[in-house]
Amino acid sequence: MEIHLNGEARSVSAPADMPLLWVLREHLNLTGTKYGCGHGVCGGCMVSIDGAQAHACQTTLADAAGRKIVTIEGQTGPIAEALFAAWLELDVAQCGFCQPAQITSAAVLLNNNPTPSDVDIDEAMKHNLCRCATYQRVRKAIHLAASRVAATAKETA
Amino acid sequence: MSTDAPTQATFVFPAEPNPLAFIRLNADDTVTVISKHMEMGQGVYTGLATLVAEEIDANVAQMRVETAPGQAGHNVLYGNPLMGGIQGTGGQTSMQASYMTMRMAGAAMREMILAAAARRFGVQAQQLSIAHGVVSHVASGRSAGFGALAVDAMAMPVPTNVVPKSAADFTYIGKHFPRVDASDKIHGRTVFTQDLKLPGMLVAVIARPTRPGGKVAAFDATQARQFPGVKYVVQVPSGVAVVADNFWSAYEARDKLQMVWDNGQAEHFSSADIAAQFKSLLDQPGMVALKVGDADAALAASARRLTVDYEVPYTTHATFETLNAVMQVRPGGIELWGGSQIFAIDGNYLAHAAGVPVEKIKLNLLPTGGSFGRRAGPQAIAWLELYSVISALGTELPVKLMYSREDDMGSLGAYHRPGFAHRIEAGLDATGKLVAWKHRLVGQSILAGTVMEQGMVRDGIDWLSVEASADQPYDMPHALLELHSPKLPINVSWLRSSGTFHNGFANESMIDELALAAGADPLAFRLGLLSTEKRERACLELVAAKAGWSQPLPPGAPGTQRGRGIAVVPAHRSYGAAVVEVTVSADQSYTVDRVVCALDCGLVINPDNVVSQMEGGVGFALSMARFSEITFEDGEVQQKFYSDHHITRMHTMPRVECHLVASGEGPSGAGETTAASIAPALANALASATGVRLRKVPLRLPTAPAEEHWDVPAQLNTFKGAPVTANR
Repeated sequence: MEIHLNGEARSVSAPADMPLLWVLREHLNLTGTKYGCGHGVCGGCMVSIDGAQAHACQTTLADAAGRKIVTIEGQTGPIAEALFAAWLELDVAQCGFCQPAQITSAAVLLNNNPTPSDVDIDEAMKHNLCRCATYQRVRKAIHLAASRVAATAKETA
Repeated sequence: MSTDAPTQATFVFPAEPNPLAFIRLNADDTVTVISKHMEMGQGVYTGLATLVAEEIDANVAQMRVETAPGQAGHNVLYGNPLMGGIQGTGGQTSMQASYMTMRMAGAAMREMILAAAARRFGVQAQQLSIAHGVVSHVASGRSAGFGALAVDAMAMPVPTNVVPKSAADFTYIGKHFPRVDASDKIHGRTVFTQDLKLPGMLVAVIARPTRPGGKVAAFDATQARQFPGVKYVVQVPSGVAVVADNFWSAYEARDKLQMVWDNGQAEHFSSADIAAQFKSLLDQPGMVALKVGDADAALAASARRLTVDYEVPYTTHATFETLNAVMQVRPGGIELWGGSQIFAIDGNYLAHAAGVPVEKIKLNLLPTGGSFGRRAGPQAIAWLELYSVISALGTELPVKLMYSREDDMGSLGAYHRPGFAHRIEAGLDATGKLVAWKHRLVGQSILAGTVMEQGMVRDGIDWLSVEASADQPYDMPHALLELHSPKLPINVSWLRSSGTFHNGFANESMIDELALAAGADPLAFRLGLLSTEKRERACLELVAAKAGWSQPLPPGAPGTQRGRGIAVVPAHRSYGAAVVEVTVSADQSYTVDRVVCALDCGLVINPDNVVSQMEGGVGFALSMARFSEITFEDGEVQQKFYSDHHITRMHTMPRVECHLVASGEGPSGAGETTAASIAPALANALASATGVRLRKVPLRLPTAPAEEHWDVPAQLNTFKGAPVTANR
């Protein structure tokens, strides 16, 4: 089956009903997308599909076919770079297990809403659990990245 | 050995510096620090790297960390002196235990680097200086990096007399040092056990009985075996294992097993039964954990008495990375990959079960996606199960055992922080001063039946049951502390803040109730009971000042009630205080708006990481205080997913402000203390807002709407049903 993953067409031979999560992890060795519950509740498997937040555990390979999928390994471009930089600057990560999914959700958010309010961040990020409770720094990092992207856009305009 | 560092008892010194055990200089100019502690998010890798970088004047960017080999014996090279010399991570001991060990190792390595450079340049070592990982001889203009000197430096004689830097010369300790593991983690490159793949590796999941005492009567694996990817189905002591070439196949095929359980001997207890048993024990005298003066006589003589019961439920770690392990058994021994907070416990259980000497067990310790106590002792259950699977298969291939989310939280392999019932009777004199305190508590012992029972259970008293009560800070001329440790068929374990969570809740709620009864301000009432040498006092004063305690709380929107509460709890050799601000809506739901906390953890090595641990401690404690609860029905756990065992999410995380008490004491821990003061400060805030005193955790106002059952959100996964557009 063909999927469009991180900017490339990939051919996968896996059962059509296999969740994308396990296609990524087991067949494609992309282990940045994590298993946390398998029920679409923890958000550890969040990927971007057609530019929206999606649970890889709730998405079968057949669902994903033909769609544009971006995992943490494929997060590139000015928004992703600004997020990674803000995450490092604020030392957001603790155990780090959920952090790729946090950044994926944040990237979807900033792509759709370059200047999110705290309420916007609550709405977008409440689907991503963090047992270490790094939420306050996640919030700050999103604001910081948003301001950097906006400043860069202003400079180049 | 000499040092100009402060020499309080809280500094733990090694017998002699051991640079080669803890530091490796590499030819590529990197410096590898060997961590004897498990990294589970607490930042210990960064802390240890900071200490070494400080002593050898390295660059931040050249520091690397890898874990020490697991050693399961006593008094081992990589042992933890605060755990009696066994290798271990927990109870926020790591930095306290390793502070001088790493500094002395670094100071010794510095001398070896200088000696190697002196020989290379043909000069005296005293004429050399080090800055940013480069050794320089100013007079001749010669210089060399650590990489160029690595081989020679590590071959130099190890000095036995070293002098670590004086505090005035610190460039990293107490300042900023970025996390060494952050970049790999945020890019998804860190290899957790869940991510580890070895050649030929199989993946197992186990179908277990749901109730203690349940057994496999019979099973039909015909359909399970037919599932793509499934290799084997075997019966093991804990149930039936499905073994496949990937987790998903094993997990799906497990559902296709036709299981017949024998529940003839199974337990039927419920949370209501446990509550009734605890209640009846509260009426009976328990084992005496602390006795000062004559509490009964003082109570009888007091002008005013209060008797209050508090209740804290069972709850569980719910680590994001579920319990797992990889094991390979070959004729030479057993090799393991994964987490283990206390290898001495886990490794010895495995050695005993497998009948191999513990030296034949090799552990490759990996970072873990949280732990909070989950992998301290309870890790062994996965190793024993995994060994039984491998034995049943007779394979020399590596096998990974995966706990699914529901296995991790709700199976017989799950572990829970025990629930506790408390009763406190206290007396005030005519002036409103506390004169008598009688505290009785009931809950399972975590240490009973473990290899640590001998060291940490004294005269029947499990320290983990009474911590923060046996060492409570207030002046109490007459105090009695009694404990009941009933035995129940529930696996119990430590969990971030352990006993200080429920003791802190009971004690600091009661102190607030007494302040109210005495007509006193809760802060002033506490300060009146704290002698000047108590470290809790400075925490309270700092948190009150930063929270603006002396100013009135700004009102909320019309129809809402606002409140503010304070608490201070000693926890695991550090001291933490918090002020919590809440807004209660008309429907009695509430938001936590702001949490201000103060921590005295002695000398601070990485201030930003300490703050990070405090913020996390607040979020973790709010999960336990507001949402998380494990209940039992017919012997079975009722909450097996995050949808029922809620934890703090982005929209329920308050604004957190953290402040550190300046201290001349040695470093103690930061991971757990803050969590202990949050539940009582919240209960006190809710009482202040509404006049309703909540004495049972999780803290829900009586007529508040039920917590939502969290399900797959409808607004996500929107691509489903949308047309696939070609040529995206």
